[in-house]
This record gives sequence, structure tokens and C-alpha cells, in this order.
Amino acid sequence: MLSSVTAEVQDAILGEDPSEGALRTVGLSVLSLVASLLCIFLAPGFALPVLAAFVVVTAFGWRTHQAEIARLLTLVATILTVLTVTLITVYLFFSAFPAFTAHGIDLLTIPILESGPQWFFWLDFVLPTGETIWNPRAGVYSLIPLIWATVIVTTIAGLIAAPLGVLGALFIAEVASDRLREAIKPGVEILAGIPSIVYGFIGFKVLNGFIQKSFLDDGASFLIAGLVVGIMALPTVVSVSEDALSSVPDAMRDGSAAMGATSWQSMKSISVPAASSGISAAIILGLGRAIGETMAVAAILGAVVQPTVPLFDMFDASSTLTSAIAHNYGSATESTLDVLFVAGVMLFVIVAGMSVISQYVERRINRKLQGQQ
Amino acid sequence: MSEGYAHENELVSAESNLYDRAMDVGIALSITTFVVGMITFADGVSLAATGMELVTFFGILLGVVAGGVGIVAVFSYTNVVPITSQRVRGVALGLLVSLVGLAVAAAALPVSLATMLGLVMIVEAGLLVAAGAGSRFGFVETDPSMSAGLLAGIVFGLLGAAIGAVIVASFPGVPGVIAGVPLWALGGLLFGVGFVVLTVSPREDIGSTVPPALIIGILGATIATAVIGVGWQWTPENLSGGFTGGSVIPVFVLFGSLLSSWSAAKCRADFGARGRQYGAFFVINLNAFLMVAIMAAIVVFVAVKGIGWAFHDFSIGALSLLVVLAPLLVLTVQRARAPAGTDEWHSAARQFFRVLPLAAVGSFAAMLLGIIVTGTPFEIPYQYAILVDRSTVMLDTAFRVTPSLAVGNLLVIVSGTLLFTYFLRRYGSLRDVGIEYERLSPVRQAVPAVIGLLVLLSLVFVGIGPAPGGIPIGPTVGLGLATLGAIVVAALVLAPLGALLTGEGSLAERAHENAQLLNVGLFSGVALLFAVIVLEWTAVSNPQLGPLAPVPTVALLAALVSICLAAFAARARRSTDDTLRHRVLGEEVTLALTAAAGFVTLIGLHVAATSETAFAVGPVEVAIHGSLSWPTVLQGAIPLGQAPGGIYPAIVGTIWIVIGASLFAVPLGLGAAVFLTEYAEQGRFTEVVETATNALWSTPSIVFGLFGAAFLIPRLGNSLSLLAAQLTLAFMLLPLVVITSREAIKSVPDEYRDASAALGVDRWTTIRSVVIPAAMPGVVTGVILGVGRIAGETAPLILVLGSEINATNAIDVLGGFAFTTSPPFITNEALLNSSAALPTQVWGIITAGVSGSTSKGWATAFMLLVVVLSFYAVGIIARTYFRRKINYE
Amino acid sequence: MNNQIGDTDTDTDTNVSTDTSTDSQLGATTGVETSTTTTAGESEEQIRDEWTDYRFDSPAKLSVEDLNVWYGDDHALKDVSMEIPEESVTALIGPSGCGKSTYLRCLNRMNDRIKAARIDGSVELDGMEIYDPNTNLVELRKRIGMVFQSPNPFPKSIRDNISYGPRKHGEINKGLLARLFGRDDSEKEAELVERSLRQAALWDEVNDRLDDNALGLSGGQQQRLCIARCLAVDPEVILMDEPASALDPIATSKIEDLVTDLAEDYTVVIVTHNMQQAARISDQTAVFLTGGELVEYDDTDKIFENPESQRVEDYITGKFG
Repeated sequence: MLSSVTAEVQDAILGEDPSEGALRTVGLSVLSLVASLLCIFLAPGFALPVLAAFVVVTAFGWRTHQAEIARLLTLVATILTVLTVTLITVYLFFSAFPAFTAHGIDLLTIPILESGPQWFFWLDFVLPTGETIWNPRAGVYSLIPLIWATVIVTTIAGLIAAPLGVLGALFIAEVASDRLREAIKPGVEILAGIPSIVYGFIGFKVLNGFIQKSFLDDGASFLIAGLVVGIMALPTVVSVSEDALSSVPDAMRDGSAAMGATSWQSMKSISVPAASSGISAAIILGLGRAIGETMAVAAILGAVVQPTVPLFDMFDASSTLTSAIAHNYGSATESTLDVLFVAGVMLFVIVAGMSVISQYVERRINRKLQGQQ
Repeated sequence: MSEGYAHENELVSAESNLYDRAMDVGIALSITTFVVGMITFADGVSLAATGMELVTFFGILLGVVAGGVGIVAVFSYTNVVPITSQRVRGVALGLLVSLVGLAVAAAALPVSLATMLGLVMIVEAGLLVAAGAGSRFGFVETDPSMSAGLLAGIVFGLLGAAIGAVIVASFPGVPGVIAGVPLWALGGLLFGVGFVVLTVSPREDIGSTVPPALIIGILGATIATAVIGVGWQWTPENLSGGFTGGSVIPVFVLFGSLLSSWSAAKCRADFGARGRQYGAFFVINLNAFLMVAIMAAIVVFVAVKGIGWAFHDFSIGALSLLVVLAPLLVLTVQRARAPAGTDEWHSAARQFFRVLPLAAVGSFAAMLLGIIVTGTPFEIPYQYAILVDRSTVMLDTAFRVTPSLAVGNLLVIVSGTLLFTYFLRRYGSLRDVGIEYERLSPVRQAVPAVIGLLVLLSLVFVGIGPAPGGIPIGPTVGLGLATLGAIVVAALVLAPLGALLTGEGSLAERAHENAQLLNVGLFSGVALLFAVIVLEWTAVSNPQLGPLAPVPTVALLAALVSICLAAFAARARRSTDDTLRHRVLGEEVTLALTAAAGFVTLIGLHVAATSETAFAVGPVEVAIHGSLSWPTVLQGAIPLGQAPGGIYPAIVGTIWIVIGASLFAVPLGLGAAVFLTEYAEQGRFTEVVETATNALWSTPSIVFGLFGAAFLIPRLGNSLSLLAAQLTLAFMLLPLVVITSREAIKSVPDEYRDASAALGVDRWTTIRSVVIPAAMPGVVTGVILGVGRIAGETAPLILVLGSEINATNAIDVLGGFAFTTSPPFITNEALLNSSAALPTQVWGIITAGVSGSTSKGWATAFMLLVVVLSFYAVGIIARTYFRRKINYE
Repeated sequence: MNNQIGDTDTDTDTNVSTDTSTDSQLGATTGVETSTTTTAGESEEQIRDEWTDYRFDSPAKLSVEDLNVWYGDDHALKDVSMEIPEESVTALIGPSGCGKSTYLRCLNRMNDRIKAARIDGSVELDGMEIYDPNTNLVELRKRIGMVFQSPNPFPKSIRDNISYGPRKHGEINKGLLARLFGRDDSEKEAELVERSLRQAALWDEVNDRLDDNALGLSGGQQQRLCIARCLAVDPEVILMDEPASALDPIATSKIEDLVTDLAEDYTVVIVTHNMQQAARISDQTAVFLTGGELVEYDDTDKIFENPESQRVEDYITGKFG
């Protein structure tokens, strides 16, 4: 039993049939690495020297048993990567736990207005209600306004990014000439590269003024935030759906054209259906980007947390899940911090879930195109 | 068999010129209104504009369009860029016609822009109805389907319902509710159903023209009759905001023109399958154009806003600018040197465009020379607003090019290195060419040995210091050796020149024969002098022979000699017809130019190595502090000063964050990718890791910030710190590196691995020498793009790094390292301190409210954009380069 | 390369029985070369106009005059003129890269889809110029169908694959709107599907699974489905670009039988790499050789038994490929 485990571990670290010398070298290297990892957690002060010892041992091993050491290093990199991913996930949940136990369902308190609890899709029968919904001094927190603000902003952004993005992808993949494609694809990438804080600054300095003048608004508004976030999510939708459309074999388009169908008919009946799962994955990913967008929203919407009245008032403003974290973290008390972690966990779960769904959907396209439906 | 073909189509459709041209004008008119709508939305022109103002506006538009169309028309006519499509030609002509028409109408009619846009929409509606009716009653030959289709029906139904509801609701004096149902809902329903029927039931030519024409007409009439005028306002009770004419009219115009361009395009292509295609493509093209326009607008807008502050008090010497320009000049020359075209003159026109960049750069260089010769500085004075004590003050400043002849050594080094590598890459080889002199081979062997010795000596000085025990060994030894080395270099470089100038035969023959002398002399010269400069640096010596510093003087001399050699070789090359000799001399020219660039670089390096002294020849000097003054990039903030200072600390902070994150994430991610793709068995485990990394890559950045703030900061000294920022961004970068590296490694064909394995090569060697080199392009470009994204990331930084806006001092990471006797034995205070960074500085200015300087914010955003977009540009260029290389294009 | 002929001659003689292997070997060598150099073993000669002057009694279905094609700077097809008779099989043969596929794609303007291609010359279908700027491409491609080298069914059901063309051309209306207005053509569709599949000799194999995804069929079935799909639009001319090159021998023979049958109602133009195939199924054969030139065009028997051109003879006897 034990020997089989050792054999498997040895196999994983070294591959098959290591020599005696390789075993010793790699063993030493592994030992020093484990020691330094332990040090990080137990005695951080000594971590650096022990790590240096690992580097020295490995460097000597590199000279004598390069293949084995290389394999070990890549394995270590993999383990560290997996550890990082796990650490982030676990630590987030761990940090949010106190707020869960302290507040529980109260975190979803529905605000009471003059005329009773705010209508919230019949959720007001299930969830608690309360007059004060976000008051750190009193220790009362509800995430409902934050969630609803996120929903509004994401909806507006999705309404902009999804149709425009798919049309843009169609243009790049099917309509544009080769030379134009060479110019526009990098253009879209650059659009994706503009830092969110730059969008935020434009929104804060220019667009907020515009909405005050043209839409008689008193300040920030979901409309502008959604618009900006929509433009920011656009490149994601464009490039992912463009990939999906380009993966539809050209032979199919040729076949359609040879039957006398126009390019638009081929697009509608061949390319888009074949790439539909990829396109939906693109839209899901784009929405994920929109939900997770922080700086532009924080800059445009400001720090106020308040319920939106009436529910669909796109000229209102309130922090979203992300911008609340950005605004409040620096000055937050212990209990507020915990609540912010709950918001963080929510974001993490939703967006990671969307990513997993989109990956699943995207894998289907390949299977479908290979005729294994 | 052919019963199914109800209508037998003609293979070649007849031309109906009038109809086609009319529809082209209709499309062009829609495009024009769309663009005007966008301009009014962005407040480019007032909706209330009338008379002269309006005529001027349309006149400007007409000028722009006429210019653009004219240039393209000339190129098309002369067959340089032939445009054959009748539709493109028609729309271009239509644009001119409609703009002329609008300008004339603006002069003739006493109406405002808003009214006029409304009238134009009514005209468009009329045109559409005419086209639809013309087709239906057989005046023009078209190819319509039986129905416009369900999709169009639904869209027009919804639009009709919306319009109906609004019309009924805003009608004065109607009761609000009948039998419990709000009247507007009834009206909407009625209109909606009507529109659906009108769209779906008639033939396509009516179904896809009349409903949109009705909608456009109604919208146009609302604007034209000033039901919704410029001053119109409506604030619904519940909403926090409201609507004004200023926002609603442009929306109506944009929407209406979009609809009419779609419908007109359908008419133009005779309905049916082809009509639907043209209509749809029109919308798709318009959308793509909009996307590009938005992108360009954002970049240009930030640049325009930020450039004033970013270049305040910028001044640079003309010579420095020339040094910067040198690599560009070489590139443009290279571009212009492409093979000449055929005799046909449009090929000459294409040739003209090849030369154009050279002409631009060349004339700029000539202007700089003019500045140097005349001694008059070039100045662009301008003003911008800064914040002093929370109040705005206008500051006078200027962008200057001075006639100064001082050049910073950094500029020389960067520019020289670029040129050196460029020429070196173009240089092939001169092996076994010319005469191998007997006395050359000892030199060939001696030079590397001498260089090795010098490097060894330098290492010794690094180890024991230049003056161990107070005895100045270093300076003394350095003095002797450096002087000696410089003399040897001079001899090495002058030998080929001597051989070329004296001796038998023609210049070409001499140049050919002495190829080895040139090869050994120049390359050894560069290498030896480089070693000498390294020795100077480590030994802290700067030999002076009276007023003369031998090392840079020899470097300058060698550079001049190299240029002479290049000139001679080039001249000789012109005079020879022999193909082989032609090639050899070409190589010699490249070699000499490489050496010249190398020697110039060495002058810069010498100044850097001996730090305090500048190297001057007459008025020209290479110095540590050159003639470049750029406060924004080279200074910190000045506390309480009138002068605005700069954002140097933020730039340095961003650079260190990017470096730290990449150092951590790239090796780790690459290693993981290699293991996952090459060693691990493909199955459940790799799939889970892949899904998890993908999920982590799309996780909101603020979540990483939360993690960094709660996990890293307590373990790294409990304060906001650079190290925490680096690690947090490294965590963000890690999944991307894994994903892109895996993609790249996967795309290496298995045949490569099999071929290598079939030769008996073990796995690691295969990976190292076959897989990784083949995957490198993909990895490099992916990582560059990822790093670009990281550089602009803000959300996690404000949690782990803070958002300082007025940093006066840059963080000193290299100088921060210190050894201690207690664990962890090596510390770096700088890494554990907070720092400014470009993105957090922008955020800081936003949160600072009135005390945040807007102009500084724009400038910071601009610099951030420059940094991030240059990463992207490098990444995209690298990708295109590698792709071309792989495809042997 | 010419000096190698003497050495390779003996090889070719011993390899007569394994003709195809030599063929592919030589094909591989020529594939590496750029089109500007002469193919291995090809001798120099002047093309004479009468070699390509093929007379027949019936009116020409397609007539091509001075067709030239450039891909960028590459002159892919040089001054090709030929007339193709109605209701017959015309085979286009020649070594790789000789422009025969390019030529085929010019006949229904599929080369329009390649942006770098420049086409000059005239192609007439029943006396109507197809390179007219006002040509209705939809109508043109309806009349001239095409089958590609590798089967390319759409990722849809077998039924939808067949009815794709007629539906796009408005011959068959299905769906909500059509049902609403009583114009539902489901029956007509079923008829059409059955007729097309029968014509393509596929009906018996797939009639019980018309709603399955077409990508689940075998390669040979997929190719016959593509032929059925093409027949469903009721074309006059069918262009086939090496339709059997990716298939096994049994599937190939089925396709060959099918082509022979189709020639009774349609005009078939077929590109093939396989000379035996051309000899078996075609009525007349056109030989293209390196550089995009049409060298000889005549009755198939004449071409294979007594060609005028020395190069054509060399090619047919397998001296180069």
C-alpha cells in the first residue's frame, strides 16, 4: 500500500526509470523546497535563506540531471499554480464566513419605503425587510441595493455589447476583406486594452456632465455606467464570437455559396447556427466582464449605497457590488470588511460560474462540428 | 421538374439607371443624417443653428467629403486604387449631391437644423414609399420575395407599438383608462398589430419600405413640426432624470437614418436575397465603422485632453531629436528602397507612397538642422489649467526645440543600440572573402584573449573594489590599459582604411581584397573598446591625456572612419558589374554601418561608465544630462509649488509593478503549462486545471484585490506595499500565462515531437530544443498582451497599494536591498513601502474631489494609455512578425 | 532537371504496374517547386492552336474565351479558350498546380470569393456573358452547381441539407409565416428530398434517418449527399472538383457510376487527378499542363490513344505527374 503510493509519487515527480543519482538530486531539491514552503507559513523570516538553498541545490542538479530537474521544476510550477488557485478560493470563502454567521439572511434585507416594502419581484414575501439597509455605524448591511445596481448596469451593458459585439464579429469574420481584417482585429484588441480607469475618468469628467445637461439628471446615473461598461465588454464579445465564427470551416461557406446562397444567407443559416454555442459563450463572458467591472463603475456612480426607486429608474445611482468594495475597503471597520468579503465571494461565484458555463457551451461547438452530436 | 420555379429569373439583370442612382442618393442621404445626428449628439453643432451658421456647417462637411471623395476618385480614375463597384461610386456621388442639397436648403430655408433634419427624414420616407410602390406596380424590375419575413414583422410591430402608445398617451383630452385597461396600452397594441400585418402580409417590396417609411415619417414630422423642439423637456414623475429635445432629437435622427439606410439599401439591390444581403451588410458595416470610431474617439480624446499637461515645459535639443530620429530615418530609407515599379505611371504613383515617409522624416530632419544652423529655437507656446490651492490657474508654457547640441548619453545608447542591432541583423557574413593576410590570423586570435583578460580584470575589481586598502590600483591600472586599448582600437580601425586608400587596382578591387581586414578590424575594434569601457567602469578610471580623453576620442574617430569605409564601399559597389563583388561590397557597407553605430553607442556608454564627465567636441557634447527636459516624466510632484511638477514616481511605480508581477508569474505559468501539456496525462486533472485557470482569468480584478489585502498585506508587514501589489497582479497574470502558453505549446504539431523522439532524443531535450522554440512566439505575444492589461489594472491596486497622487520621490527598489545579520538576512524596505502608480493616481484624483487636478488626471490617464497601448502595439507587431515568418510571406 | 530523364527512365519502366505510386512521388516533387519552373521531366514545346480546337455538333453549353487568372502576381491561367458541349462529361486533367481547379472555379464565379484573384476574359453560359457586371450571381450559381474536393455537408440534418438551396431561393417555404399563410411546402420538400437522394443513389441508405445530422454519414455518403444537395437546386451544369479524391475505391466507383448517369440530363465538368478515372467516365478530355495552359482538348479516346502533343503523351504515360 505505502510502497505503491511512494511509487506513484516517484513516478509523478521523476517520470519512469530514474537513475540513482537523479533520485538523490531531485530528492534533495524537493526537500529544500518543501522546507522553504513550510518556512513561509511557520517562520517567514527563514523562508528566504531556505529558498536560496533550494535554488543552489537545483542549480547543481540542473548541471548533473537536467531532464529530471526540469521535470521537477515544471511540476513544482504546476503545483504552485494549483495551490494559488485553491488558496484564493478557499481564503475568500474563509474571510466571508464571519459575516455569514453574523448577519445571515439579513444581508438580503429589502428596503422599506414610505409605502411599505419596495416591490422586488415577490421576493419581499421571502426575504426580511428593514428601514435601514446600509448603515455601517449601526452594523446593518443589506446587499440588495448593490446587487440590483449590478443587475441594472449589467443589463444595460449587455443590451449594448451583445448585439453590437455579434455584428462586429460578423463583420470581422465574414464581411471584411483580408486587409481590413488585419486592421480592425488589432483595433478591437486595443479597445480591450484601454484601462478601465481611463474609461472611468472619461465617464467621471465628461459623460456625467453630459447626462446632467441632456437628461436633466442630478448627477451620476446607471445609464452612463451601463453604456461605458457595455463598450468595455464589447471587445470580449467581439473577439470570442469572432473566434467561434472563424472556426466554422470555409468549405461550408463555399458549399453554400456554390448553391447560389448570398453571403448573408450563408451567415444566417450556416455560420451563425454552427457557431451559436461559441457566440453564446462570448455573450456570457462579456456579461461576466460587465459584472466584474470595477473602476469605471466606481468612478461614475460614486460611493452612495441606496435603493433604486422605482426599480427600473436608469437615471438613479448606487454603488454596485464591485464599486462598493473599491470605495469602502480603505475606511471600513472590521464588520464592514466581512460584509465586503461576502460581496466578493458573490462576484467570484457568479463570474467563475459564468466562465465555467461558457467553457462547457464552447466545448459543444467542437463536438457538433465534428458530427458527434 | 421546373414547376417549382414560379418566376424565371434572368441571368443578367437589366440596368435601371434612374432608380439605382435615386436609391444611392437615398442611402447617402441617410448616411449624412446619421453623421449629422452623431455630431449633434456630441454637441458639435447646435440643433438650433440657422442661416449662416448652418450653411457654414454643411459647407465644412461638404468640403471634407468632397476632399475625401475627390482624392479617392482621382486614385480610382488613374487606376492606382481602382474602385469598380457601381454601388460605392453611386453612394460617393450621392454623398456629394445630398450635402450640396442640404447646404443650398440651409441657405434658402429659414429653419433650424432640428427642423431641417425632420424635413430630411420626411423626404427619405417619401423616397422609400416611392421606391416600394414603383417596384410593386412594375415600374422598375426587381426581385422581391413573397413577404418581408417574420423577423422584420416583429421588429416593426414592436416599434409601431411603442409609437402608438406614445401617440395615444400624449394626446390631450383623452381619458386615461377604458374598462380598466390603460388607453396607451390599447393604442400600442392596435398600432403594433397594424404594423405587423402591414409588414408581413404584402409582398416584400411594400412590406419592407412602407412600415419603415411610416416610422421615419412620424419621427421626422414630430421634429419638423417642433412637437419635440430644441427647448422641449419632459420629466416623468418617478424617474430621477428626464428627457430634453437636445437628447431626443439626435436619438430620433440616428434611429430614423439607420432604418432608412437599411430600407434604401434593400431597394437598391432589388429586394429578394440580394436586397436582404445589401441591407444587412449595410448595418453590419455601419456598426463596424461605429466601433472603430468609438475606439479612435476615446484614444484621441484622452490624448487631446492630456497632451497639454504631459508636455509642459518640454524642451529638447535639436541634435538630440536628430539622434532619436536616426533609426526612423534608416527605416524609411529602407522602405523607399523597394524595387521600382513598371513603366506604367500609376505604378510610379504607388512608388510615391513608398517614398512619402522618407520625405516626411527627411524634411523634419532638415528642419532640425535648420534650427541648429540658424540658432533660433522652435517654440509652440500654449496654455493649460493647473490647480493651485484648489483654484484653477492658467499656466503659460511651451513645447520647445532648442538649438542645443548636447545629447543625453541614454538617448545615444538607445538609438545607437537600435541601429547596431538593425544593421547586424542585415549583415550576413564575409567569411573566406578576399585575401587572408599572414599577419591577420595572430590578431584574430589575440583579440579575444585580450578581451577575456580585460573582462577578468574587471571582475577582480568588482570583487575587491577599485581601491583595496586605500591603494588606488584600479585607477592606475585602468589608466594604462584603457589608453593602450584605445590606441590598439585606433590601429585596428585605421588599418582597413589605409589598405583601401593605398594599394593596387581599382577601388572596388581593393575593397574586395581587403574584406578580411575590414571584418577583423571593425568587429575587433568594437568588441575591444567595449571591454575597455567595462574596465573603466569597474576600475573607476577615466584616462585623460592632457585635454584629450583617449577612449571616447578613439570611438568618435572609429565611427567616422567606419562611415568613410561605408561610403568608399558603397561607391565601389556602384562602379562594379561583377555580381559576386557587388554582393561582397554590399556586405561591407552593412558591416561598416554596423560598426559606426556600435562606436557611437560606445561613446554613450563611456559617458555612462565614467559618470561625471561629458565628452565634448567643440559645441557638440554627449553628457549625462543632455538637452532633454521633460518635467512630466522626469520629475516628481512639487509640493506647494506654482510649477506643476511631474508624475515620475507613478511611472517608476508602474514599471516596478509590471516587472515584479512578470518575474513571478511568467516562469511559474510557463512551467505549469509545459508540465500540463507535455508531461501530465491529458484527462480529468488537466481539464479541471484548465477550467479553473480560465475561471480565474475572468474573475473580477477587485476580488484579487480583496485577497491581496486580506492575505498578503498582514504577512508582508501590515502596510500597503509594492510587493503586495506585485504579487496580487502576478496572481492575476498567472492564469493568462498558463492559458496562452498552453495554447501555444498545444499548437506545435505532434509530428515535431514524433520526429525528435524517432531520432532517439529524450523527452526533456525534445521539449527544450523543439517544442519551446516553436511555441515561443505564441507565448511571448500572449505574455506581452497580458502584461499590457496588468499595467493598466487599478481595482486591486487601490486595495493593496493605496492611491497616492502627489508623490515627490520615486521608489528606489534597486537601492533598497540591504543585508542583515538576522533572518531573513536580506531585506528591501522599498518593496515593503507603498508607491505611486499611474492607474491609482488617476483614481486618487477622482476621489480627491475638488483638490484633484483635472489636467493632471488627464495627463496621467494619457501616459497610462501610452504605456498600456505600447505594450499592445509591441505584442501585436510581434505576433504579425512571427506569423509572417512562419508563413514565409 | 532534364538531364535526369535518362536516370529515371528505367525506374518508370519497372514501375509500370504501380503507376499511382510513381505518380504520387513525382507529384510530391513538383509540389515543392514554384510554378514558374518547369515540372520534372517536362520537355519544351510550342502549343499549337489546333490541339485545343475541338469541334462538336451540338450547341456549346459553356464557351470560354481567352480566360486569364492572376493570384496577385502569379499568372495562374493563361489564355484558355474552350467550348463545352451539352449533356456530356468533360474531364479536366493535369498535374498539380496546373490551374485546372482555378479554371473550374471560374465557370461559376467561385473565384470571386478569393479576394486576391483577378480574372480577365469571357465565359458564356448559353450565349450569356457571366462576367457581366450586372450578372445575378444567385441565378448563375443556381444554374451551375458545384461539388467540392472534400465533402462539405452543412452541420444540419440530411433533409435540411437537401432543401437548403430551394429554401434559400424561395422555392420551398416552411416555418411559422408560411404555415400562417397556408403556403407550407412540407410535402413538396419531402418529394424533392426523395427525388434528389434517389438521383444521387443515396436514398436507400439514408431514407430512415433523414433527420440525423449529415456530419454523421461516411465520407462517400457525405459526398453523394453533396451531389444530391446540388441536384436539388436543379442546375443545368454540374462542376466537380476532384469529387472522389478523398474517398476509398468503393465509394469512388459509386461516384463514377453516378457521374455517368448524370450526364444524361446534365452537363458535367469534372476535374480529376486520376487519369484512369477520366478515361473511364468522360466524353472529352482537356489537358492542362504547368503554367496554367490548356495544351490539348479533344475526345477522350483521342487524347488517351493518340495525343498530338509530346508533353501530353509524356504526362499520360506517366513520365511526369
